[in-house]
Amino acid sequence: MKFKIFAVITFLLLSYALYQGMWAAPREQTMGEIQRIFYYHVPSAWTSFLCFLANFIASVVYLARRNLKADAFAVSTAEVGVVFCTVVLVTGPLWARPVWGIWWTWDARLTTTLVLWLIYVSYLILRRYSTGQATPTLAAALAIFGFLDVPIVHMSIRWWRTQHPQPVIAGGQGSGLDPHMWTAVLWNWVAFMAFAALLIWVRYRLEIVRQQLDEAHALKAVGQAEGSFTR
Amino acid sequence: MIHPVSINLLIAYAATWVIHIGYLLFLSAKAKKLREEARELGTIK
Repeated sequence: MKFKIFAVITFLLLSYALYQGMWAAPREQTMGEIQRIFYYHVPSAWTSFLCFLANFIASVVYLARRNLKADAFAVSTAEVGVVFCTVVLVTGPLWARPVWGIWWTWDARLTTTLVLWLIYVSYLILRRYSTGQATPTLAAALAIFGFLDVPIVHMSIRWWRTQHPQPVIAGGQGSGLDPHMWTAVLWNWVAFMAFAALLIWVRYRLEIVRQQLDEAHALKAVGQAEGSFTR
Repeated sequence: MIHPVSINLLIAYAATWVIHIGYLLFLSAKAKKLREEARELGTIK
């Protein structure tokens, strides 16, 4: 019941955020309508960063306490983070082509974001195809080192001169957003955060079931082995 | 005629939801597979 209520709230938030981004926010003077991609692109990036932060914390907890729930939470947040990071990597070039005249450039922000996506995709591939008891430990170690790229992505437009636009938050003189645009950004962020939480909730429950099934398989195998010894 | 810039905006919004709905379908397939596995093992009725 709680899940259904949360799903309905998330749907309402996403609908209102769409209205904010597509209609309520003012038209940007230089770029025009294409700037509205910003309302999906930036909140998706922030959401993916928070998912990876949650993955980092869960990985540390798993390594410290060998807690299987922390491991389930880690894989759930990594997967949802990759989904949101994919949105960032798809919507970015769609904005760049009409504004810059190119789909992609190997500047610091774009390259570090692609590397971030590749790190977490490799994390998921490790989890999917590696067998054995050491898999969660190896994955947790990879996640901890992989998270180091998140602050690098965040700071890349401050540390290096990039083609990517300069920061709109705490970016110094001349930076910032129209208050109506801020409203649209924040509504979209809240809506995407709620959607990410919903996806993590579903994925976490599935991972717990998978852990129970692995345990059941192991017990069955032990039972069969004991049966073959007693015969 | 739709302005090419607007087309990119629509594609970006559509792509976002294709990715999210694709992931929901992936979760749904995963849930179905786990349910079947549980039924075979007899752990979940």
